[in-house]
Amino acid sequence: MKRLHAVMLLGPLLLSGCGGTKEAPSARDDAQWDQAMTAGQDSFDLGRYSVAITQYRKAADLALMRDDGKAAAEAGYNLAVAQLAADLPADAVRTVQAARQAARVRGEGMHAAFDLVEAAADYRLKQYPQSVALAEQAMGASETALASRAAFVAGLSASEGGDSAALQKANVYLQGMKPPLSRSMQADKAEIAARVLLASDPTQAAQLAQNAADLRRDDASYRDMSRALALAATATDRAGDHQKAATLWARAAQSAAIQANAAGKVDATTVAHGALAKGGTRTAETDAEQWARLAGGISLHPFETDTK
Amino acid sequence: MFQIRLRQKVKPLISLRYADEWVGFLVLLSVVLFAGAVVEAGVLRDWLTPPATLRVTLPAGGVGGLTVGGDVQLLGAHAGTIRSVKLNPSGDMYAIVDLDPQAKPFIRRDSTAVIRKQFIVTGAAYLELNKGHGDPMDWSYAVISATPAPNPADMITATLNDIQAQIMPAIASARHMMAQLDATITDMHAGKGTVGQLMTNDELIRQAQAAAVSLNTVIDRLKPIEKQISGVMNKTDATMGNLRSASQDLKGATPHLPAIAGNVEASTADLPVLLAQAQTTLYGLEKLTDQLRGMWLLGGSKVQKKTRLAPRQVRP
Repeated sequence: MKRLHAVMLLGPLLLSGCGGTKEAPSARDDAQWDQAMTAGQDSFDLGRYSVAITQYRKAADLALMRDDGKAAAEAGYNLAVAQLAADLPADAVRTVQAARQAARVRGEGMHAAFDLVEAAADYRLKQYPQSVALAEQAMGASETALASRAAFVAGLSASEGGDSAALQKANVYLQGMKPPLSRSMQADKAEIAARVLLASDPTQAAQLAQNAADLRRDDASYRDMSRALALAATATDRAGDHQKAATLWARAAQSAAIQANAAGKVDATTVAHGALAKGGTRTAETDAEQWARLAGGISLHPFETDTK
Repeated sequence: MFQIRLRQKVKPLISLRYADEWVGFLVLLSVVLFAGAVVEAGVLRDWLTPPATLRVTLPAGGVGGLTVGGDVQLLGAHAGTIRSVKLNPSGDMYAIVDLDPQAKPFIRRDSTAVIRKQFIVTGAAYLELNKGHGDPMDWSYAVISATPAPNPADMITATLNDIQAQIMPAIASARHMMAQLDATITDMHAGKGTVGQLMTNDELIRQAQAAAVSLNTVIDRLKPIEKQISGVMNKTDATMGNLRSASQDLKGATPHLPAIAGNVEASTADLPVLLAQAQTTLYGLEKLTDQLRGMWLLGGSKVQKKTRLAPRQVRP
């Protein structure tokens, strides 16, 4: 009986010891690199983009120090994404080019991911044809999440650049995705569908855009949400309901303004850097100003006191 | 004589026995005393000691009135005579002096001789030797050089010449200045220049009076401002007082500053270590959390941590 008890107590421990296999060595084994990447990811998730940029830059330098092409590519990709989130698209493009070069000379390739980031940065820099070309390249990636996001970026740039063929291509790709789809993918699909229907069926487009905005809100992706709200406003305006359209623009403008303001308060460094490269680029601030103008003069920060 | 006395048979009035012997004895005694006195007075020594011979090279300008038999003095006392004045083949003149042997120790190689006149400008010339302090003289061929004493008359003449050279230009300048002054005053009287106009033209005076009146007006206007300035100065004074008290407070606080700085330094010195430890601990904690999450015993499953940010984070 005693022996049975002992086996019952030690059994799970022995089983847990048997579980799992030895992982292949990677840059994760380097505590410094791993720490920088982890700190970068945590800062990114908290919206501290300047801290994330610093950490990812440190990780990229450490990857070069250990002459690890894969680690350099991953750190460079993350750095570019963080720069894009911090409204620094020009810096993001430079980072992508540097990371491509670093990965190429070390025999590594992460082309689809780099294409996606560069396409998104080009969209911000209003270089739509270049953005569409890069995004369409990235659509061929084996990773579904990456390919669907690339299709979304291609559709977005095609819509802004007036390239209906590319827009249709992106829409066909997104509509052809098999479930189950993540919330982000569903939102991408709805937003591109709305853009396709904007001219022919604005009411349906507005409905889809609203749906996309709701999905973005649930996904805590507020930049994408405000853009979907603005799209819904445009569709509603085209459908003839100007009052509702103004309301939607106001909602989009206020969200974008608060995002810009939050970036200014939380992350003064990011704003200081961004202010240098904002001419001719799309930022939360410029979007807020544009949508507020369309809404017809609203207060962007209604809860702020007039002590300034 | 003895025979005469015997013949006369006359008894002499005073009979002196051995008178001749006594006279002879006195004569001899006198001679001995004289010789002793002579020896005692050193006359013989003087006679027996030969005089020292000194050659004195005379200046190229002439002997300066020195004559053979002329006096030679040392420290104002007679020390010898000039025996002869000679001319050597090279044209230089020199005098041979018989020097009193007593003066020999005073004459050294650096001794010099000066030709002086007895009454400065007139009188007999004599040679004055100076006491030397250098090496002893080689008396087998003793030579010193003589210089003539400066002639006071020459000095007076040179001084007068200097005075004349200094004063004459000054007199010329004074004359020139007086001429300039005369010309200036003449021009001023004629009304030339500012001063001349001032003297002859009343317009300038009137303008000056007008300027003085304007100045009075300006000063009257400035008086209220002066009061304001006084107020400002009072306020500034008060401010300075506050500043002084503040600086005194600061001065009082200053002695504590090194201690505070020391504490801060001690605290901050540990900060990097503390930060590194905190970072390491947090990193370890995160790793532990990940492992705990992955343990199937706690209902979790092994999660492969992705290093790359999700594609949905790429925000166009």
